[in-house]
Amino acid sequence: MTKHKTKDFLYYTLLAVVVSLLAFVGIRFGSVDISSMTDADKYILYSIRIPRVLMCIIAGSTLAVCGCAYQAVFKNPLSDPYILGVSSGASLGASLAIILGLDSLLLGVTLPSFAVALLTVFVIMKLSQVGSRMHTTTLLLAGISMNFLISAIVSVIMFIDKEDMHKIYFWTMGSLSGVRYSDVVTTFVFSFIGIAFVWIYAKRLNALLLGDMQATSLGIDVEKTKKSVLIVSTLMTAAVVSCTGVIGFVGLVVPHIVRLLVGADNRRIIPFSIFGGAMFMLCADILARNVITSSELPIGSITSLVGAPFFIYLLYNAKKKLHF
Amino acid sequence: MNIITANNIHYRIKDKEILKNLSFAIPKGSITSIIGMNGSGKTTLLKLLCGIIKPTKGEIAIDNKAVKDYSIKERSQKISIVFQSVDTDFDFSVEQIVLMGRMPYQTLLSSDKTEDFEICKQSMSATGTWHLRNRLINSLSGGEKQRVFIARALCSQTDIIMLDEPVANLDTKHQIEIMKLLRQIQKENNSTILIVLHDLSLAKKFSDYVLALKDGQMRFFDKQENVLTNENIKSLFEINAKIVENNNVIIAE
Repeated sequence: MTKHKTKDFLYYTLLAVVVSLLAFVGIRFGSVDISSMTDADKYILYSIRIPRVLMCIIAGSTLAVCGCAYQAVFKNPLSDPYILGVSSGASLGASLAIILGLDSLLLGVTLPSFAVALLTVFVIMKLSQVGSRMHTTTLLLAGISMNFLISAIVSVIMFIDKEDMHKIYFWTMGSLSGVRYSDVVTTFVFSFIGIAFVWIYAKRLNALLLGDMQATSLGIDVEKTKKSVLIVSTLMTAAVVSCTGVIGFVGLVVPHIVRLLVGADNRRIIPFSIFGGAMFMLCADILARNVITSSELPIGSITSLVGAPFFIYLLYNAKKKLHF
Repeated sequence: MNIITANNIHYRIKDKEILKNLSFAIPKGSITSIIGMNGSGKTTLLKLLCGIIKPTKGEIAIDNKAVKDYSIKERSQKISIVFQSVDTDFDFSVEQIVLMGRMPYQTLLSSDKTEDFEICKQSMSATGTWHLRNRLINSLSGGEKQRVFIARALCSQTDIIMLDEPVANLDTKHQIEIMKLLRQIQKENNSTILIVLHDLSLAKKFSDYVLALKDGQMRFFDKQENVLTNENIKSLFEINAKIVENNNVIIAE
């Protein structure tokens, strides 16, 4: 680790520059040209684009770190909040908060999102655990099943409560339009504390990747570590989803690419994933706003267009282990 | 002087009694092999001794202190464990794996210090794995992997090393190499080593003591020459065996 520190600091500086450049592109370019800086342009700049780009950076970094945490806790490189249905759980919590009229309260969407997301994690763990192990196949099947179930419940809610249909629809597709500074601040607080927490646990997460008994033999309270990291990661996911809706595959694609570049040590993967997640989301957002000039694509569809083939590729590589 | 003592221990899962009424004392600085047929409770006994599971009844003590009174961290500073095999989808380097052996001495916020790297290097040199330090764990052969995990156990600087069938998947040459390495570690560090073994020849050649289990009960615990006799092997494994004393080899007839 020590020998990497100086080198890594240089990489972090370089990546921070790239993130800043992408943020500038994200602020500067969109469906409206703001180069003349009229009052309307200033409004778009300060009230729409800057909070949007800030949310992009926070959401991307957070979802990428959540992916690292889930992969370590489940000891599975295919785990991610979206695939396991945790993001969908959070969106269901948000939908329920809307139909119950809680969305006007402080954390009125975040807390129900967190509660349902946590319940989803609990169900997935129970469904996929065989003895002391969680097998890849059962874990993925449990995630897919929960995704189906939650989608069905959200559809029923949308059908029953037609008035709020457009609001709920937003959570199912993922979008950064309409992000306010208050959303940015709330999500930043949750994410900053959560990422710091996961990073402190990075070394223990490394030991978890070798198995529960290995980790116990190294002096780690496995159950306590798993529960703490899982609760914090789920809270972070819920904080992001309650502001942006479901944005898939960030937690899968980013840590995986980072792992290929820097190795399996979570103490390096987590900081690199913070930058990687921000870059991935900024690129997706720039594409979402500029591919079609007349309208905006949901950012979730862009991340899925990249993430789903990547997931298929990973599954293809892992098929021998999965006994498909 | 005894380092591990077990007093009337039982272990039960639901209605099934896995281990019954085991009492023994392991002398410090010895190699003890745990033998027995499949399902006799060898691995369960090892897990009980290292505190991963708790006995249903009875008490296990290490250095005259009950295992249950040790915190997880204190226990990991006393006992290191080498498992039969480690499968992971995550490719750590060999050096990263061995360095994890220092975790029992580190807090949540502490990073690896120069002293940790020094101990890691010494452990790898002692086990002949230093040249593998930059290799990825999943690229190693079975024998190399076991050496790496023994290096990690050494890196933890514990008085006791427990190994669960460490040579089960290795060829004869590598089995002998690993057992010689364990004997060397025991001599140099005065470590107490407990090994679950299937191979009676290895148990005879490399153990000081043998603990034999059958159907969850301890049938024998004594010096290896007193346990590994033709009659005892016949009663334990229901096979005829002949011991060739000069070579310490046991042949089934």
